[in-house]
Amino acid sequence: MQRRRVVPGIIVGGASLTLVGAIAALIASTPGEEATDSEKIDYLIEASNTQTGIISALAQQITDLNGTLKDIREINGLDFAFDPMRYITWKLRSGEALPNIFSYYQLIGPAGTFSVTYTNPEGYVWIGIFQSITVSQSGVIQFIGFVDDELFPKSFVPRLVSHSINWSITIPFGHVIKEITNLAFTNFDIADQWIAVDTMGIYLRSDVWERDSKLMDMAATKYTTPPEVINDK
Amino acid sequence: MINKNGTYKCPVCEVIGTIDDRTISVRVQCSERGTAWPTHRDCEWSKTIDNIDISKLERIS
Repeated sequence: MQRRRVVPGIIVGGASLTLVGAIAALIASTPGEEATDSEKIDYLIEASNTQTGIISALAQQITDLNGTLKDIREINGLDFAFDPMRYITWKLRSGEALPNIFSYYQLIGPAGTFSVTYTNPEGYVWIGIFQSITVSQSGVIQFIGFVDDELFPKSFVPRLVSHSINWSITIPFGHVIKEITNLAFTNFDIADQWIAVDTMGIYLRSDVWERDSKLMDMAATKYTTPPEVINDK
Repeated sequence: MINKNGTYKCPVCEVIGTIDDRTISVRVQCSERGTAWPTHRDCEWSKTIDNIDISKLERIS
């Protein structure tokens, strides 16, 4: 059964108004001195029924409010899944991920290509956080990067210049290597040129990444649909 | 000019690479302890194609 979702402020205000209205109606219908015993008894029964109805309504709205607060708590908790830095911190703390900070310098001869293929430790995916590439001379080196079994390069820069990318901010979880990455640098200059690469990332257990990815998708599907707002008070 | 084409292994770090004309292709197996390239000073694979001394590498094919 789908739980009703309500806006807290409206519920509380609505319930209060209902209660005040009902009490006002009761006061207005209070029997006078001349009322018969039968009229007084009818009044007491009516008052009792009204109070019971109000309490039931309040109980229902408190239940709804509780459900809404639970939803809000769950949505806030999703920051640990969708915010890369929180997620990574969590996984490093739990021991499911290992930090990977990696730098290298490579000389490339004239008209030469240096191609390097990295294979992840078995059972781990690599999630990129930050990358910086510095080149000895802008515009003379071509860079192509392939990831896993993708047919098209993840990155292709015909004339490389020094740059840095903060993946965790610009493309959250946009650079995940399941198994293999291949980087190829070609020097089109007539002299030796060099590149210096710095990367930061984590190795995360593959099973953890697969499980968490599914949970993220499920949560996103659940919470990106606007809730049914009960605002009829 | 010496023909360096072939597949070789560095006897120190055991990184395997292939030389094909002016292209050097190396394969690095990363470990849980981290990633390093080159893994040691003066690894032949970290040199340019003109400076690699294939006599310091083990020929595989």
